[in-house]
Amino acid sequence: MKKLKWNQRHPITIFLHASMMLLGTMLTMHPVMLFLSLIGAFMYGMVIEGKKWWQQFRWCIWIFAIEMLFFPCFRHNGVTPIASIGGQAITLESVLYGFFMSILLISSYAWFRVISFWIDEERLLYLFGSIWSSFGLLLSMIFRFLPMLRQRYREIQEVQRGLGRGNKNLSLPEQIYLFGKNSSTLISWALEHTIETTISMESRGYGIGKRTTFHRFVFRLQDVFWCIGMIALEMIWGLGFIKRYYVMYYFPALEMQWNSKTQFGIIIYAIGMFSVAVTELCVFMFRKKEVS
Amino acid sequence: MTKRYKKIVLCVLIGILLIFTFSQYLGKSKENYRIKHAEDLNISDKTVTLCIRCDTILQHYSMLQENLQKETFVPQDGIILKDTTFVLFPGDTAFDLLQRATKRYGIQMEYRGSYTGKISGNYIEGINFLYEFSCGKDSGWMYMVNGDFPNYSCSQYPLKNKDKIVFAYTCERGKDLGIHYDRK
Repeated sequence: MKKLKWNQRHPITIFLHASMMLLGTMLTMHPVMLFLSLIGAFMYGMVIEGKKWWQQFRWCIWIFAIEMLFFPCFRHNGVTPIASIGGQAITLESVLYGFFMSILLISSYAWFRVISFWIDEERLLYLFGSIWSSFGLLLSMIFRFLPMLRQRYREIQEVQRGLGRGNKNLSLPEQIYLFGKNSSTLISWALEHTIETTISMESRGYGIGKRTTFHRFVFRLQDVFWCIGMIALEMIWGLGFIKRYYVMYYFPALEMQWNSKTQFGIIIYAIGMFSVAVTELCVFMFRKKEVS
Repeated sequence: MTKRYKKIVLCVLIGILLIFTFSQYLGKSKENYRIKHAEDLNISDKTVTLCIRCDTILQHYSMLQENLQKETFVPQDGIILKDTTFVLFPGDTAFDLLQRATKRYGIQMEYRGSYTGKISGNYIEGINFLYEFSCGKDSGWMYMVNGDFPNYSCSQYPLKNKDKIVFAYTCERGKDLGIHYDRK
């Protein structure tokens, strides 16, 4: 992975852009927008990984196969029949719907892949650590607690067996007595452990109140510009989406909206999709010239 | 995934497709004969009439999907197939009649079969590109025989001589067709 200019931005900026790209891809079924999104994701992927990027998309042929061959077998809506299966027609519309659906799936997969390069563990922790920290601690403690209890119960059993009490041929009342003894030992041990952990957590500063974690991200002026620009773009696009300017009907007949409002929306969509990739490409080209 | 495995999967896929495409030509000669002579009243004296209509949509036209608001999908009088007399062949159900009529007149029809449970039978998803939920969330196709709405699938309703069958589109779960659910 190469060093990227975009990765120096603040995690909030990166997250905002990533979520907007994903939303814009997943919400629309307009073919032009889907192609733009696919091209945008692939441009960025090529900058990041180069030729290696294409190798990740070999299995996408199977998505096309499933969506374009199997989906039409189960949906027979559409004006132009091509063939028929079991007395019901396979239509061109459902094949095309499958095609664009698979493009949607592939482009959202590509965006997720790109985002995994943008947001690494440190940034993820910075973004969600403040919201979910106590919940995460609780979960991790619970997940640790259950296997620990099981292991300790096994240890207690071993000790009892070593003392000569855990033979296999015991009568039922004796077994019940032994089980009660073991479990009471286990519970007292667990309580002891929780007291220990609370003491250690307290001594490390848990529960004091306002605590901060170290991070090395700075919210610069450029981030402010990026954030404002992206939110403005997304709001204009979202307004058109709510007012249904970018609707594409696949059933029963293909019907694509293509008026001036749609074209405006598509231009805004393209700016959003390509902005980061284009700036990155410019930086990339510039650097190459510097070396040579 | 090895190359051999890929080849096997591809072969299976193509095979399934071929079987599906050619299955319609097997054992369908009887049905083809029936479609050809569906209105040939010289064959037998037993007849039924069928009518397909969607006039309830005209009252709820604004609720209909935008791209369906055309005369090719919703005719002006709301009648897709006017009262037509068909020959009743032995063992015919209401679904068989509908399928024969739609094939004969080139009307698009999609159904979904279910084979599980007590209420097995075919469910009519859409006729003439008007599908369930195309006109509001309570819309879909219903059928009535001699003015009654049978409460089970049309592929389980055996027809009798001189039955009058109507397939009608509803936008209010049958209320606009005259069904009133009594509260007991």
